[in-house]
Amino acid sequence: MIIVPLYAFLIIYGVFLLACAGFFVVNVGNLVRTGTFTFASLLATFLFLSCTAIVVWGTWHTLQAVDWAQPIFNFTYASV
Amino acid sequence: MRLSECIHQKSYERVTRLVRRHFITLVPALVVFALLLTLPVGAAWLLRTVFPSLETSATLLPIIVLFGSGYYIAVLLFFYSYFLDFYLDLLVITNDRLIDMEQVGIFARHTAEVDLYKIQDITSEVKGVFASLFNYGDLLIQTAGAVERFVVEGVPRPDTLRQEILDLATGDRAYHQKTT
Repeated sequence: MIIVPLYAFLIIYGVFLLACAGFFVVNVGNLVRTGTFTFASLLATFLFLSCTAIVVWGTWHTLQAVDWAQPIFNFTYASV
Repeated sequence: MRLSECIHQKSYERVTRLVRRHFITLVPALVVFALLLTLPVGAAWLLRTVFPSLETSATLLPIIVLFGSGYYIAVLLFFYSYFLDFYLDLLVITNDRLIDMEQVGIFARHTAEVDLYKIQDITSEVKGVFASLFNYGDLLIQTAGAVERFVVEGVPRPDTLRQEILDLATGDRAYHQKTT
């Protein structure tokens, strides 16, 4: 019997967030390497971080009461 | 790292202008960004209408919320990267050189430079309704250097910039002829 719990999607979401964080770090690295830390670039970075924080907080707030251990898929092999 | 280190600024060199693309060239992307942000709202309304039981589903609702959250973060990241791609395209004009730095995506950067005295010809182009209204366009710089042709797109006031670069090039050529 193969049970896929709901927290599998949470793990996928976490991996996705890590990948986005990696891309963000590369972008900031480009800003540092080119010496273009100006008001406009800092404002864009601040807006991106704050909007992302709002989205993540909203997601956490919406999904607080979820039982992540419940199964999504339940594969049962029929015994011969 | 500062810009002076990035362009390996020489001791006698001073930066006279930093030119970026006109902000109006970013507006079409901002419109697309706004549309993409509203897409999940429409999708949520459609799902509620077609599948009303989804709102109370203990398993499907968290997946849909996670998917929506991932979508928003992906859109934000895409447009942050797009803005930096726009912002890091820079034309640095000094009293000695012209340095064209172009960010190509996140993982690539193209930099070309030419000594001012090697500039042979500059053409400025303003094409289109918005370009004429907001006075932005392209500069085509013909040089005798390794890169024969520079194309700098979407710069504000290209006619003024063309004249400024030509004046600097004339001054630099006169200086080099005096010293040789």
